[in-house]
Amino acid sequence: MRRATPLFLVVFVCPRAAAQAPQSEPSATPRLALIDTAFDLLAAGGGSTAGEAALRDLEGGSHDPKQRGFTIQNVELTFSGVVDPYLRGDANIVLQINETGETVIELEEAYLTTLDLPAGLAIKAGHFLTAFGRHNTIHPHGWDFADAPVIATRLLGGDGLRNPGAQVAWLTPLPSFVELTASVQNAQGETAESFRGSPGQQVAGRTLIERPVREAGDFLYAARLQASFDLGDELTVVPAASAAFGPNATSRDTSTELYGADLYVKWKPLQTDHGWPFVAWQTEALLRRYDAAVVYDRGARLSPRTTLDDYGLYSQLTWALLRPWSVGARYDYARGEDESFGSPRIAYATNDDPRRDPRHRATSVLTYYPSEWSKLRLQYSFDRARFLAARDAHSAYLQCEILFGAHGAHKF
Amino acid sequence: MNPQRMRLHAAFTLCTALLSSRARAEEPIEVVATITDLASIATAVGGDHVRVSTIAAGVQDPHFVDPKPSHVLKLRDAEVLLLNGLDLEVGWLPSLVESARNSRIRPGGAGHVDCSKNVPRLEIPRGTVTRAEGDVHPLGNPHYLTDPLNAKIVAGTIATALARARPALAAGFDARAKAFQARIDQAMPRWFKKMEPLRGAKVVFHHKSYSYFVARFGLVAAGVIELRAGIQPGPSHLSELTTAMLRDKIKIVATHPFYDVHLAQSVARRAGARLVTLPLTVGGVPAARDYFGFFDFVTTALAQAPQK
Repeated sequence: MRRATPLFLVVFVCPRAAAQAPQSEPSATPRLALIDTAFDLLAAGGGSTAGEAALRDLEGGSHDPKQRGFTIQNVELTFSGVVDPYLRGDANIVLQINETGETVIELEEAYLTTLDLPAGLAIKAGHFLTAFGRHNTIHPHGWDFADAPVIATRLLGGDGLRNPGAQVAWLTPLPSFVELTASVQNAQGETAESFRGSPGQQVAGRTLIERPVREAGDFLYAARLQASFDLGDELTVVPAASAAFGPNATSRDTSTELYGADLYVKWKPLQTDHGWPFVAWQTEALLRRYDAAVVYDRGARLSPRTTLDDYGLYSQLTWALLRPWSVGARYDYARGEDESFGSPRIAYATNDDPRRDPRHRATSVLTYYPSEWSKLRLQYSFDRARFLAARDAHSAYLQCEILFGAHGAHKF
Repeated sequence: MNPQRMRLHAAFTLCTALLSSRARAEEPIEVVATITDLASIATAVGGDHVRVSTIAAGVQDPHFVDPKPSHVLKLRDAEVLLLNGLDLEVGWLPSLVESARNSRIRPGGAGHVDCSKNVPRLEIPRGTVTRAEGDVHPLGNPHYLTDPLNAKIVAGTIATALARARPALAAGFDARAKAFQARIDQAMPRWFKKMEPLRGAKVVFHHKSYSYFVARFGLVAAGVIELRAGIQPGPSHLSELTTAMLRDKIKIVATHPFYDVHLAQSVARRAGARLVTLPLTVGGVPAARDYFGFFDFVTTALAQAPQK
């Protein structure tokens, strides 16, 4: 039965005299805003020509769809509020159902931010995503694609680079927008895979050991410098550079360096219909120099101390052409140099290590937005990966997202 | 420190304080307005004592403004932030203010000025509303500056805010606010006169953005293209709207320059009505150069519509 949509009809009849105000109520209804909470569900269904075991290596992100069937990628509960005149608090709790059907719950972020420091400073303390590159600090439902870029999952980890610590950000007084961010955090666990990581974890076939903190150098130090320029009213360019240094646990005195450069360019005319049209182009290049310790096997030295280089980039374009549709395309490239090791401890070519092999990926998306708070996204990817038996894989997913509650605006 | 040095030190400190406060009194107040209407009123009230910049350009839809870093810079240096309030800017202003790290303009700061204060509101929803009705404004319709008499209230609010920043200049701000209010009173009769032939005329609006204007000038808001705010209208609603327009002989469709013109044109064409493109804020069309120019343009455009 077709439901009739009621026609909205408003009638105002006012006498001539300017002195008679329209029927209205006085302003200033007080409301005490203590906490904003929001719920976001991100889910996908689909599959790949790659088998499920290979798919888990093909999609390196923990929240990526990595099974044939349905994936609850990310259920995000956000909480934020002003604590007092000096501090605000933010937290993100994330649930997902992983590829083995288990429910995983994680504290993604929980931190305080200062509100009242002078000289353009702000301090963040707690558990947070490291300000490195552009992708790392964007939550999954803010991505323009259904999965994370390959190089980001390899170098920053499947869950992003994050740990407890403290960060200071400085908005400089320069006439152009320049912001410098520096942080110190723990360097451990599955959210610092390129650093101390978790004992027993494998990086390039080297097994990580237990590495306690003994000195100041055993923490993760990161910095990011970001600038922004407007070229006219419609074009904004945001270049940035990042670096991160910390220990890695192939031995008790080896370390890792991460470097990143990113560029974001957005064209958006002043006159837009509910935000349409715009074009956004984002490119990030990352390099990891991983000081790997000597590898022994039964007393025999298999490999001297080596610096393993892994690098790659992604470049993506999103074109919101006509409300409520947008299209996107992304290219990923990633590779590692120098040998990985297998199990048993035999050197094997990097090509066989799914986390370091040369990889190309081309992705295309079509997204439909019924409103600002929901989306439906169809994504197709083509992967060329050396570790795959068939070398190529085709994957397709239909993703949906709903958001309800009071969620802050995403950063530009 | 010996007594003589202490006296010199005190004298030096006193001179510096006096000189800097006098210098400060002479420095223009850095005012950032979220929308051009507020910038126009602030320029009238502040005169040479303010330097006004705006975040949302006049041609932009003020509901959808990208939180660009260049806007953060304006807010970083602002002494006074004038906002429309009633959640018009809620989608983009809080994150900009947060990034600017300027405690003067934070909510609760001396320079944070919600210009909706004391303005009588229309269309405050009754009971509970949800997003099933689209992007409803729970505090009421935020477009109160489409009624010139509300601008008189806002001028007073702005004068008070500027006086807080420069107490020595308070009398001047107050005088200029009163002059602005008098100018509104002088202009109302000519606007009423232009709108007289349209009293009781039914107009379909693209979005419920002119409710205060409709109430003040005696039009009838007889339907809306965007039935639920922020949600694309479906074909069944558009079909019922055009049927109702033909039945009730509604001859005017009013849209804004940033909306999808093809949609508004199609509604007007199917209903045999005239399409009028009206600005939402000052600068929305070139002729609406300031707050008075806005109403000169709008009243002329509407008055001419039935004759076209």
